[in-house]
Amino acid sequence: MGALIPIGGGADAEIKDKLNKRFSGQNLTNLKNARNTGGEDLFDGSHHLHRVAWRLRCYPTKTYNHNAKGKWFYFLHETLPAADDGTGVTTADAIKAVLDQATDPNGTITAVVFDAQEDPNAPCHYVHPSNDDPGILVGNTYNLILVCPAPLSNDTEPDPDQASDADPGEEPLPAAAARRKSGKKANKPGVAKRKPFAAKRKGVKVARARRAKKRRTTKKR
Amino acid sequence: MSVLFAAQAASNVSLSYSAERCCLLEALLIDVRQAFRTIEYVLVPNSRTVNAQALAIGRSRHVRLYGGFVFHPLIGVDSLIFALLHETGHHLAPGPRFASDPMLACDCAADCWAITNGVRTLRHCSGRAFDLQKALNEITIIAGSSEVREPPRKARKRPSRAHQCWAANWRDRRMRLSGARKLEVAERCYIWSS
Repeated sequence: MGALIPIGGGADAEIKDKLNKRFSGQNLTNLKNARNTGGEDLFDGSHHLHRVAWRLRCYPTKTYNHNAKGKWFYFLHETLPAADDGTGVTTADAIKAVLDQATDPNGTITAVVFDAQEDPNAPCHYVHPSNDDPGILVGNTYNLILVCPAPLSNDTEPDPDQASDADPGEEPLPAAAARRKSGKKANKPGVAKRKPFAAKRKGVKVARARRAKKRRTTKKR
Repeated sequence: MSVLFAAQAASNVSLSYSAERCCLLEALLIDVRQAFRTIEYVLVPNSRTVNAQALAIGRSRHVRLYGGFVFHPLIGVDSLIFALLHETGHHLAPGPRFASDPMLACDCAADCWAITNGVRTLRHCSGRAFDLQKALNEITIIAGSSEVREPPRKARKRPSRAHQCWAANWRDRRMRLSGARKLEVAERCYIWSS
């Protein structure tokens, strides 16, 4: 985030936006409640990040001149579980540890802010400051920064939407809260609703007919 | 900023690591560090990513300059100063923040700050100024070769006037920065409309 050249927003911005929305506010509360009632821990050892991302709809959906979605699923499925920064903890496990804590029904985390930075000297993709102590807690917000030695490779993978991709003990997940349409004003009490166009036209027609009738009656007199 | 799907300098572009360029960068970094003491400026020379980035890590504030941009042969001193001020603006500009990261001001606010308060502070501390038009021309050339495609004109949703953000569209952004259109900060960042 905060790039000099953010043309079109980019797939990075889209993914970050979706992740940040999914793991903050009411959406995070819903995930905590679902874990409390359904009992499914999305970030335990038996779950896979790419499948969870697909279930939570945290993947790029816009049109880019490369297969951003396929690259993203490959990255989550193949690259992160194999990445170890020398601490003995894989990056996939480090991410799961942060998100597991964030979705703990008894926890106090209110938001996770995701970001990424490039460091060509990094041994692999890892969570800042290190995989064995991932994320930075600022108040009730987790700052999860992924350090990347290079952009994603061109390897891609299909959507993990097959029965064979399912993780054990999957329960239905709460849908993300709908975004309020920009510019749409909430109906305030005491403020009249605008008439739809058809009703407006009907009203004009009625008024016109009434005026014509009045004119006719005055002429007759 | 694009890190996972970054736009890299093309393989036929040879980055200019000349002694002259290194001295210029060093002098520039000394000046901005002096002018904006709360920001940590990091140069990442061995990256070929054509961009710069503002990043908030915990409570510390960083600006990262990637080699693909700062050593790009088409990028001159004016673009470097504009980039530094724009990224600093993400941290210091007042006004709307990124919807997904409230620690950072959004692009239009950062741009407005860069060409007003930012350049004023830098000039006051170091005597440095820059030619905005030259910077925009240089960045336009390298932005045009960016791998991130703008959505086709028909597919673009027209946001309501009050929420219109121009920073995501380089053509519009350039016109506003060069004074051809009114420079105003949008109410919300463009990420909201994604």
